[in-house]
Amino acid sequence: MLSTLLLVLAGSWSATAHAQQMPAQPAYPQPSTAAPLQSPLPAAAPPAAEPRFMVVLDPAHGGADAGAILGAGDPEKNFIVALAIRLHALLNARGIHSILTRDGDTTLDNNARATIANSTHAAACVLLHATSTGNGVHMYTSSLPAAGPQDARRAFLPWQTAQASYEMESLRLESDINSALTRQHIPVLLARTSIMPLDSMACPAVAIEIAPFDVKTPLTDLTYQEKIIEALATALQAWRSDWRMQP
Amino acid sequence: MIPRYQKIVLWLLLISSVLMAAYLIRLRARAQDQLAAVPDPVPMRAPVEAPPEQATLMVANDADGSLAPVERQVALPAETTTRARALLNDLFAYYAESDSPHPLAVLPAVNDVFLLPVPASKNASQSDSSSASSTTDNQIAVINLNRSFVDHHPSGIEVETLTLLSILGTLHANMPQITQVRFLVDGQPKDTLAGHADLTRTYLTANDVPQVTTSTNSPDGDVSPQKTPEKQP
Repeated sequence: MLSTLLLVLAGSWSATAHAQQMPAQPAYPQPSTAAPLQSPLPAAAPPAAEPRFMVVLDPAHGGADAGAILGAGDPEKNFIVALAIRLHALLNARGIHSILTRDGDTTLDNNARATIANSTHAAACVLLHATSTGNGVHMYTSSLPAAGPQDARRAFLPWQTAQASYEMESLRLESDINSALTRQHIPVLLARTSIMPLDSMACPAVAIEIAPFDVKTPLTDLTYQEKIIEALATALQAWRSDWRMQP
Repeated sequence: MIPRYQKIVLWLLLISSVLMAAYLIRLRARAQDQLAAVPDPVPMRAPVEAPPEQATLMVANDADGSLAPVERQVALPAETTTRARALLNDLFAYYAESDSPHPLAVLPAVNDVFLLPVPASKNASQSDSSSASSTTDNQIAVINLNRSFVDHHPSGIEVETLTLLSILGTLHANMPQITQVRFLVDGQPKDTLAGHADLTRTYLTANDVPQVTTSTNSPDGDVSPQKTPEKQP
């Protein structure tokens, strides 16, 4: 149903300074059934004179959707939002503008999450998940077939496959995060998947699933969590430099 | 004139009948709940009158996020839909074993598999289509998963993605004419497998399954350690 919606955007924002920074940037799609945004969520930012480096952190699940049950019996939604809030604070302390799609136990559907990312014109979208399966950090980019150069310049993007036009940027972002995690000696698994709202995000996007470090170091280990948060913040700082140098 | 004691007896009988009926209804509901809670004892694999053939299962491993080919002797019927279902049932029977690298619930996983010809326009656009003659035989498999299996599937991006890739890879390895796969759950569309992996899109077996170049398994079913995702130290 949503795949039939070709979503708006195009004109107004491409005339801004942001468009000067990224002239080939396609329009950001909007869903027809977007959920109303929660109070802590930002409204669409007005065009700024300087392209603003904005990171969207999307803690998965929330509200009625508890997600996976982690080793200690805690739901994924609680663990991941707490970690996302700490990452958000660290990013802001380092001068990186970031927003959270949710900062409490609220239900937020996938369309609303993608709407926040797309309307914010995010330079990086990081979807945060947790699992008790496997070890280290599992990092995913979209498995959608990459859009060709002609598709990437389209003024309209299909909602369900918007991420296809951002495959190369997403892979570069993934590479930066992978490097930072590896420097922290955290095992990383790189793969591709098809999950919502990743496929609908019109921004460089990766899904990060945090698993226990090993049998002796569970997800609840604070040192392990700090390493991951530090690595992600460092990677996003590196990505800010890469992003500014993009044509 | 009905004597008073007969009226009392009548009312007592009436009340006890109502109470007994209510109690029986409650017992019946409780028994139904207990039956629903018990795993379905139906055998995972339906008896198939077909000679065993060598089949390649693409087996997922949660520990390292890999897919590896495993050779098994499976009774595969000639009829294609039954053949696809037998393949998937054997794959999930493998996952239900106690030492499974990708443990899943011991439940029937696949209700049905429907095979349909891929529309010509879609055939032409597929990246793996090399000639018109090869695309005319391409099929789309609609896999109708069992609701109980889906409800008991572990939740997580990795574990759900591996289940889907394992299904796609197994079908692609044994029935290459299946080029696209869609999923239903008890006949209805469902957004995700267990909260993460997308079940609404059409998967292309040639594109979505990471390529495994060769199968180097011994006849006794040893696993060739060919990882699909890239594992960093």
